[in-house]
Amino acid sequence: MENEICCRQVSMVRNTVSGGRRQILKHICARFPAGSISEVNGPNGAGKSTLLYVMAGLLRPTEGEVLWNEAPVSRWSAGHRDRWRRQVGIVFQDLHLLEDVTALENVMVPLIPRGLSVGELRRKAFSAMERIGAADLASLPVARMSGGQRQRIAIARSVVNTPALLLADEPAAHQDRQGKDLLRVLFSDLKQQGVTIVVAGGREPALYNDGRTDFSFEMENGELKGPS
Amino acid sequence: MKRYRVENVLLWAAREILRRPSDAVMTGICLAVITAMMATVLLLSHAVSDTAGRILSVSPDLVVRRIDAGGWTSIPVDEGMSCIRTVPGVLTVRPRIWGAARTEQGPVTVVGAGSDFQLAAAGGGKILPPEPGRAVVGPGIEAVDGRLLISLGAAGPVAFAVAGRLPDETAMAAYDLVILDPSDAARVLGIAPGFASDLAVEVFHAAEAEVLAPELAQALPWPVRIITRAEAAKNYSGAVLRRGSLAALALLPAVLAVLVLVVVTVRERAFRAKTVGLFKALGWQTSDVFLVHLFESAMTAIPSVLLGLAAGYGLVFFPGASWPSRLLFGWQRQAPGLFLDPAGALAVLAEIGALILIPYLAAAAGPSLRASLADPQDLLEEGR
Repeated sequence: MENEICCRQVSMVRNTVSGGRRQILKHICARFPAGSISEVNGPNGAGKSTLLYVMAGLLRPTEGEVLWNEAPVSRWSAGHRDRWRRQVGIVFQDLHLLEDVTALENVMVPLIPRGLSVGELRRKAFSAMERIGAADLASLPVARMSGGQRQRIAIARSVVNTPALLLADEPAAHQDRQGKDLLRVLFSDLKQQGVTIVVAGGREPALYNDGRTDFSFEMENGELKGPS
Repeated sequence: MKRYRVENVLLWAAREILRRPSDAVMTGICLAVITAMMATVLLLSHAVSDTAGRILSVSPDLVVRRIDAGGWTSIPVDEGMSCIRTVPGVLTVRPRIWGAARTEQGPVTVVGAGSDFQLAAAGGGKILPPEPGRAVVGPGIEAVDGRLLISLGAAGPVAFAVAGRLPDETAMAAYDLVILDPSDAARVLGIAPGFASDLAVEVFHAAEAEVLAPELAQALPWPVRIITRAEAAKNYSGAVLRRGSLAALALLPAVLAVLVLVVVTVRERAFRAKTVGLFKALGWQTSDVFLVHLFESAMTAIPSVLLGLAAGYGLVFFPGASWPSRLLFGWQRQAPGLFLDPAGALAVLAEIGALILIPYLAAAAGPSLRASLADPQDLLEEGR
């Protein structure tokens, strides 16, 4: 199946600040079909972000595996995962923007090593910003932006490389109603194009509180329940 | 599709420099200063060695000097030449009159020049052998009212009219030289008629000079010391470089400065782990990250090193740069007129590259390779 991602018995144990070890993910089994929107909700510290990072190949699971179209991505070498990640869009909870460059340059970052001309880079980045209603922010340094504006830049950056898989960690946390509407339209468009979307939310669904997602999961203490 | 990858990475590297312009400027200044220090010392030692080689390439294959219990002594010309001519392999023998004499300005080297002496003058003319009572002087000797007084010990000083001056570029060989008519030179140096300071010998094959030396010693009826051209070259550059060995101490702080710069750069780049993690999370490969760091470092380091090399070159070779001669020879004003052959210049470039450029580029780009082994999320969490 194209653009399908599965977690098979995924567990994650990480070191804590106090020097101990804590199990963050416990035997997660889930399937996210191609062209679907799934939402993972749960309280802070439930392990939602870690699950997204494991699915994106940013962390290796301690046990189990992540499969992308049946291929065990999580077992691949770092170099292979780097290459595969080119088809993954990520919105980080912390955004991770480069503060001292412009919004347009931030959005261009994933495209730089792709071999496009500078004109094409700018056009694609500008187009991604237009999709999320952030085109007017293109020339502003990120450091001068509000939380909501910064989040839109991070979202534009995640879709600029036309991903096959989009993993968004609380993408609506700083968005007003208009911003959330734009985000829903963007995700719907991407879904129409066959993109698999996984959105992590808070305790209550922030983006799809009307139940319009394809799959909804609940996460608590590293355990995933659902879909419903 | 991959056509513009390197260009884009290069542009991003330039953007990274502009993100931290003060860092780049400070690093550039440090590299330029360190390079200038190292280049000055290295260029000077190569130039002295090359110049000495050039001067001595026109010296005789062998020089025969007579010795006795008191040291050097003059050699009977006719007897010495006839003995030397009996040795197979000898091409020509000629007597030379030279030695140290005292003037008002201090000790000078007096040389007697025969009718075969001719030297190109600075203005394009020729300097001919001086007539009796006249002198041609080296660049380091000042004539007072066009005259030079040379002491003859108890007999008092004798005055010579200065008829010519050797060009400045001969300073390395002729700084304190006074060229006189051979009879004047012999009188000044106390050498009796029919005697010479030494005998200059040319042989058929220069490579055989060392083999001929013991045969010449056997052919002569007095104890002699025979110096080959290679020995003379070694003695000359060795003596000069010994005097300049203090300059080599400048290399020590320069090397330490490179080490400090390398350590600071490695630490600074390690702090950038978060950016490396972000780039990798956004689909960059290790080679892309490595290239950005390499280009960024090269864009700072290469112009700085070139600037430092130019400064070092200027300090050693700029017309009028007199400090090398003050350091090496104790001359007060005269530039040494140093020469550097292309191979020597390339050697200096290679040494600078090995000592500064390669360690700096490795320190700047290396951490990106190390970071490639870590998971991007770990880098995002650990970096600033």
